[in-house]
Amino acid sequence: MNYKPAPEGFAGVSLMKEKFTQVGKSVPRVDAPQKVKGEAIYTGDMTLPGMVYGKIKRCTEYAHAIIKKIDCSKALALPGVLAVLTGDEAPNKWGIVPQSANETALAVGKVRFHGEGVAAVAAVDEETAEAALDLIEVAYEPLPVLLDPFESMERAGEMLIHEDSPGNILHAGDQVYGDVDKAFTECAYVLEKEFRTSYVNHAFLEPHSALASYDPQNGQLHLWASSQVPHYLHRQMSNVLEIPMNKIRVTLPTVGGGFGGKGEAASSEFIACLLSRKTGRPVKVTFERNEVFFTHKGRHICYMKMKIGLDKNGYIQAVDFDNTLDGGAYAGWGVVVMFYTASMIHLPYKVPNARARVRRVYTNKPTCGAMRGLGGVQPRFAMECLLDELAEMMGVSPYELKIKNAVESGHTAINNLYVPHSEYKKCLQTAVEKSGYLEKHGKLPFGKGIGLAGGYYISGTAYTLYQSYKPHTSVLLRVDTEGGVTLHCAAAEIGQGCTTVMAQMAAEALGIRYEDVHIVLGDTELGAFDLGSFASRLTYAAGAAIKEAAAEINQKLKEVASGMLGCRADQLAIKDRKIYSMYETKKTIEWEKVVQACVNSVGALTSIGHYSPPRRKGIDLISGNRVQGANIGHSPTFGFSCQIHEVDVDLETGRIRVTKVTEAGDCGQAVNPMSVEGQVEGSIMFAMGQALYEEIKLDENGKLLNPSLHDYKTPTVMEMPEMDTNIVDSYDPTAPFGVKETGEGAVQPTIPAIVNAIDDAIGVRFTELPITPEKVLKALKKKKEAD
Amino acid sequence: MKRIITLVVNGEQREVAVEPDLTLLEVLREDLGLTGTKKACNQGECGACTVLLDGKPVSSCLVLAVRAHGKAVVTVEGLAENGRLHPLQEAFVTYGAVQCGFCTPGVLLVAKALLDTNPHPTAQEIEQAIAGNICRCTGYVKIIEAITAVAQNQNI
Amino acid sequence: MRLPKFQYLEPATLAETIPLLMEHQGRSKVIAGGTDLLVALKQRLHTPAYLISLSNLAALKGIREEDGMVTIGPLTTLEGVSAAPLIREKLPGLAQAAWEVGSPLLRPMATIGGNLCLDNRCRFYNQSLFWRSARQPCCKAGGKVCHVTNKENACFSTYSGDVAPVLIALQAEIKLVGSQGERILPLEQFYTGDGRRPNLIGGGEAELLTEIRIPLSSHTGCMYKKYRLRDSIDFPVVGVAVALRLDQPQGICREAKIVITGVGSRPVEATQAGEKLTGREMRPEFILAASETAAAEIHPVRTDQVGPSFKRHLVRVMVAEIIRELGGVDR
Repeated sequence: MNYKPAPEGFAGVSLMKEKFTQVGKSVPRVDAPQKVKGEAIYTGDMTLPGMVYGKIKRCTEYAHAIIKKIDCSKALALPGVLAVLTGDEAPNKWGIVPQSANETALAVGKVRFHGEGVAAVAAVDEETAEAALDLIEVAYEPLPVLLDPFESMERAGEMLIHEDSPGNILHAGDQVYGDVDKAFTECAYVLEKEFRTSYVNHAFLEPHSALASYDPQNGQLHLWASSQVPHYLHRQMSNVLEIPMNKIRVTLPTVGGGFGGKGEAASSEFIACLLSRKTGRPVKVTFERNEVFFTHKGRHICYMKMKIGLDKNGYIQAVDFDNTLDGGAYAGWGVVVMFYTASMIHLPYKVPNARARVRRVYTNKPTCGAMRGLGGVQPRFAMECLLDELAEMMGVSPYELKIKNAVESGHTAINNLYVPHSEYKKCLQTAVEKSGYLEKHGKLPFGKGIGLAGGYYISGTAYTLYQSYKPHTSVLLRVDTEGGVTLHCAAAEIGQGCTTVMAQMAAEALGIRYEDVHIVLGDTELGAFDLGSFASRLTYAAGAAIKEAAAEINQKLKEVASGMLGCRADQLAIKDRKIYSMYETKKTIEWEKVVQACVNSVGALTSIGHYSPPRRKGIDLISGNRVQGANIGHSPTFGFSCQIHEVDVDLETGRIRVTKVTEAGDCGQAVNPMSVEGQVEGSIMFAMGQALYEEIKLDENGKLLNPSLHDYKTPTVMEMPEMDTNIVDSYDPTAPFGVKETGEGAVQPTIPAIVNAIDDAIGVRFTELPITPEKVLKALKKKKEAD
Repeated sequence: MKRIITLVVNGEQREVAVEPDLTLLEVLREDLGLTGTKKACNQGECGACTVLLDGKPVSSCLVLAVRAHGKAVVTVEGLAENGRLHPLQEAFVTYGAVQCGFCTPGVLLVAKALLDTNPHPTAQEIEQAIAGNICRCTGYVKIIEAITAVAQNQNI
Repeated sequence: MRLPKFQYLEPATLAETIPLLMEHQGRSKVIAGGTDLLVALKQRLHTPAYLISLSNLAALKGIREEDGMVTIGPLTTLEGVSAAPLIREKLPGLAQAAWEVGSPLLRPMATIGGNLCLDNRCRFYNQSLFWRSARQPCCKAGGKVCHVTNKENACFSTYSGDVAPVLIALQAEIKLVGSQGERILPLEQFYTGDGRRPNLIGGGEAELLTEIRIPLSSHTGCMYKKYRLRDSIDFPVVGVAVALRLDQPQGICREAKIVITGVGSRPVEATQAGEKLTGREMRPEFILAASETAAAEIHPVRTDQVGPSFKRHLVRVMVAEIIRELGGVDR
């Protein structure tokens, strides 16, 4: 097949691995001291003068019903209640994908899932607000409840969840590259299986909270919110409230985790704003834990059929993928997640023929949305397990099969995904060597097993979610003699560590120390533009914008320094807070002195840097035709990783313990290796939860059975395996500072690695998650009967 | 009916008039402004609201404020002394044990209670001590490393 | 979710407490450690007008041994029980059970008495008021039908305490004090088997649990094992306590008591399983028979996330495992 040559690195980006002083160091997080002192202020910690409390009345009775009548008069009469709100007061639809925006602040006309908000109150304190909710009377006319996506499609003629979505399908798409059917006929090994993933929630620790203050005199709205996407929240607030964006300011206080769950606007935010406008008082809405589960936006449940064919030498010839995504009641990120699942079959292996048929279906459940590694986790589970089994069919090690097919730098997939840089093979090698995989696999006693899986993820997207070609990230740098160096960006620190990483990159680019840089994030008014913390985009995007902004500052400083030192500006370098001639080492001057001279003559230095991703089109490389939805999945670069899990299966109780994980990741140049490790270790536990413990359960009426942190089983420290994480030597020459993602790639291999290890332990291939002890025992029994 | 309770919070005696239906968590956050203690589940399932009550780690969402009358309460705000971080705080910063920070106050207090009674715990004892604290970010590894470092009195 | 409004009463002595129980019978709840009750109150499972706190009743705290009997005050915390040298040395099964309750953040508040009085649990009952309000109230909540079984006037909620099985296996007695005086009864008689009102005083009776007495001579070995989905925080899926009296180490079993939690509306004693061991040597075939019998003696229903057949299987496995360990029998 025809691989395109690598494009040139774009402007301002070095093609050579650089020597860094600030990047690549495990410096402590700049936000950590405040957090350990309990001084970091989260939205729920805030109070404003005159602040009142908002609460949401949710539909308890039905998962699908027409709202006949809402009577708020008794609630309004309760002393201490300032206002009530119903859906028809704010009927504009919101949604992060504008083409499919179909949520309202509160239900309008009907409710589509159990727990959907139908009314809200503002009251002087929480007790009064809670009491007022009980006084709101809602009359419903129940509708058929559709919980299974296949049933939902089948019964669409009888009942539509959204009037404008025929078939109860949000969207469906076919992506065909090459001739899959023909390729299969020529394959020596073909395997097809069905897989099902589970209904899991992010379970971030900080429940959603929003505090809004509307100033009736000047029409300004200030919203503090626990969000990952201040910009998208900003846009949608403007739409729902019909207030221009320039009259709305969104500020993120400290955010207590997101994992995608705060990756779109939340009803708490709309309600706080609407109630503040209605009462003229600041209003805070903080979710109870069960409301976090009711509003959900977690991982899509995928019913997947995957078929992979290999030639006699074990090279992948074709992948055929069919995916029905159960998306719950509203659209949310649905279309995007759906096309990501289609895109994710093209890497990290060379796949010359591929076909994906995908559909995202409405059901009467809390809506699914974005969750760490969105769209990747489900097909990765299928693909890595199938390849393991294919290796077994061939009589070779899964490692051999995977490394043989692994992509390398400069790879262009059949759907035009371009991989500028890959150390995936190094990841496989490192993890295999460090774990002793080849010595253990297939040789451990019954009940013990080891499993390998690989994975990859995007480092940002190619497009905004709405039709706009503006830069995705802008960074404003200000250098003066008072404030020192300040970086302004409206990016979201949600605990992933972007503040520190941005300080390190800015310091590197400016030739100073990371402690010298003040980072101002998470404010749409103070910060320069940023799209948000999702798609593992920020390190790369901010890095590029920082480089651009810093280059301009550096140029100005060099020009002034050249006069002071008596040499040409283009011969000067800046490093370690010194400006010096690259040729005459004696000619050196303190960085700060030059800044002072600059400021004294022309005032504070400012510059703004922007980042726009390369906009590759999703086309069929063979025909050159555009393919629907195939722009999704493109990324300036990709991170890769491999995980090897060792498990212990208790044959008597069915309990699975992951005892050891060996991980090797290609995140390009690690800006902060300690933070990378933290992301990887967290990812492993996060995905292990989905593999073995976590699942939202519903009763037959669509009611959540376990909306609490006791009944929803996130792993505790007692479930933690020994972890050996390794950052492989890597540097993407096309990337700013050589960086790539790590926050979402590391969740990708976990589930299939565990599943493959279980197969190695007990000879059972699980295809449905989570793999609970009950399922293990059933499978063992079945196996015993078959033997 | 409100009653006056006396608490020694982070070494300072405080008098608060409270309704009996208030939890210690609510009084700390809302009456005393100590918002470092976090509310994440409000049902004793996650450990985010942990404080030390007479030296023992408890879920403050499940303690009536009136029950704390006459007792010593330590919250995360009480760990640093004269602007100097407690060694555990120092270690949490140095070892990268903090990500989103929402579980951090609770874990720090559990760790302090552990080391106060058992200065050199085994790895297993550390795990058992923090078994009631859910952290969704770190995978616990660096939290254990940080506590271990203090326990072994390493140079942090 | 806030707590409902209530008046808080703090009697100073037992003598003051009983009249308060009488006076406010039916509209009060007794609070000891509160770790279970406060969750229930937040969920509005109860909305008592009065909370009667036992926190001042110092006489109900503490552990002592006299005349071959260990006496534990019900207000002793679970942490106190599990850490007490006397308990660790002479009743390690009890120390283990107390240590396995909930999480380390609950045990310093939670009391052993509170754990014995733990209300039964069910996935349709232990939910917020908001959640429950969508259905007819279940039997346990004062309604007519059980949502687990769809049967009328029968509650299948599950007793999930960790400590009671051990104490019953150890043939512990409790003292209840009320206006009519005091009575002493075997702990197993404390449990009614009625999910709605699972013990003698949980329904707001004017009686108080004041003492737990454990004879040391009833057994030569006792052990508790708990199976839960995560190794912390969770209630037991199944918990098994076994107390054996052997005539000599690895000798003949004179008495075996097997008590199981998480499988019925009360701590369930597998009496027939115990009989399978009585008079026998600790041999694999008898152990197998006992464990099979125990599994057949329980009748769990799906009140949590785990199915009945899995619970039965766990009981089979765990009973055998404990007896082997107590009897010094290799697998």
